[in-house]
Amino acid sequence: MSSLYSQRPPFIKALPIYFLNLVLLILSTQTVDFVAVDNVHVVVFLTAIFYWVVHLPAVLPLWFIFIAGLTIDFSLDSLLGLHAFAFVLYTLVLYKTRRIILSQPFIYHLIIFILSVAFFELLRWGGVSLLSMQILSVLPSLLAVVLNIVAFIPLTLVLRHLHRVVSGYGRSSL
Amino acid sequence: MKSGSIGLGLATRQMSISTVQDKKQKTCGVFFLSLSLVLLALNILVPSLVNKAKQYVADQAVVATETVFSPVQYAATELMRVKALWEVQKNNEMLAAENERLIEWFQTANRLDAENRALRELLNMKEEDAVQYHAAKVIADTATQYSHTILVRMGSEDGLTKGQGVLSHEGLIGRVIETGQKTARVLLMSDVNSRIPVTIEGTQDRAILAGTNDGDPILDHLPKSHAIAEGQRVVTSGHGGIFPYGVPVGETYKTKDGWIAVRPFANANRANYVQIVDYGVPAGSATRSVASSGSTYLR
Repeated sequence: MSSLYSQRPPFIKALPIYFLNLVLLILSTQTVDFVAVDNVHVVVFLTAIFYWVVHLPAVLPLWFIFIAGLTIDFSLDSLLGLHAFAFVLYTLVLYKTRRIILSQPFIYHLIIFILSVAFFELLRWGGVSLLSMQILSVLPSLLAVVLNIVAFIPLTLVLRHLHRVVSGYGRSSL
Repeated sequence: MKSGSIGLGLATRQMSISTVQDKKQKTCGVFFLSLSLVLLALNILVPSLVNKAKQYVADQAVVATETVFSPVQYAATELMRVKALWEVQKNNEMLAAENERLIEWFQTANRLDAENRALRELLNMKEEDAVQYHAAKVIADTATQYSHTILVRMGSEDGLTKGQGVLSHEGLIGRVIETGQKTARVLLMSDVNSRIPVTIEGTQDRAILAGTNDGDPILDHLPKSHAIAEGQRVVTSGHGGIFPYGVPVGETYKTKDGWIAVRPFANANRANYVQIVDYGVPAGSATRSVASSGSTYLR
């Protein structure tokens, strides 16, 4: 069992990974208009957290995840600390269970991701409903969950390809 | 025997390194989790401080925000332009008809304006304070399913204050809820925390326009015996001390759930520039409540 930090690829080699993480973070500060529902906020950065914490945690340090959460909080006028809290909690849970997740086929990864996205959205919806003392509509939140799941598969393919290029990581089970 | 003990030593060393890393990760995790919880608590305990911090960050990161959001805005504008190309013929016919109608209205407006002036002079009425307009660029559309706000590039150094109305060329969009030096945050009327006193033209029924975060705002606190039909114009009532009477808001329609909703004249998502209007209305009770609460969800 080698140290996770000894697995960190050289900075220049890992630059595309850092760049993609940054792009996913920027995309997570944007919203999409979808059919009849406007301004659906899909946090695609969750896919990056899921993939890198499970496969190569060294490229996504905890401080960056915390800052990423705060960036979303600041840029989207969200409850300060909400995304930061959810991201850090998600990372710690994944970090604890990563060895079990790694040994499972892709379909289990997808199921775990679906559950985590649903929990994440429930946390946001519950937090905001509680603080505004009103039950908010669940439709936009459901839509955000669905869009996040739809984005998970192509994004995982891209991340896996990058991972393979950067560290010569293994054969795809997807 | 010797190589076996070296291997065992290496494995033990690697295991201890891994344990140290795990401990470090756990310590970092607990630290960042605690920090996030403290920040979350601050939202409730000192919302004004949190909002000031947010606005300060927005002020400092104004260039970065513009850089990040402008390609998205550009893409959205271009997409709309492409969409509009498909409907150019239909739009042209509609605009020609609207133009004819507007020319007729222009003549009527001129006649009514002259009549209004004459009557005012006759009654010796005091002139209303001049309305001041500030044109501001929307630098970030920060609306999500949980909060409907936008960020504009104009702040307290340009004379903006909390509570000022925000319009597009089509009608009311929302109001200023936080001002930094260079930026200001606007609460859209579709936000669940937005409440605007309105009047329905024709029936003169009063109501509160309440945002829902999900689609169009609805009319709340309507009188039981109201006679509101579909398609009636809704304007601000002037109560509450934020907007004067008569700012156009939207048109009424009935929802499937039986509510009377208002289809806004202005689409905040399409606005690249907005007008911030200073009506010179003194800060009343509603303005104070905006100023004193401050938090995103506790406005």
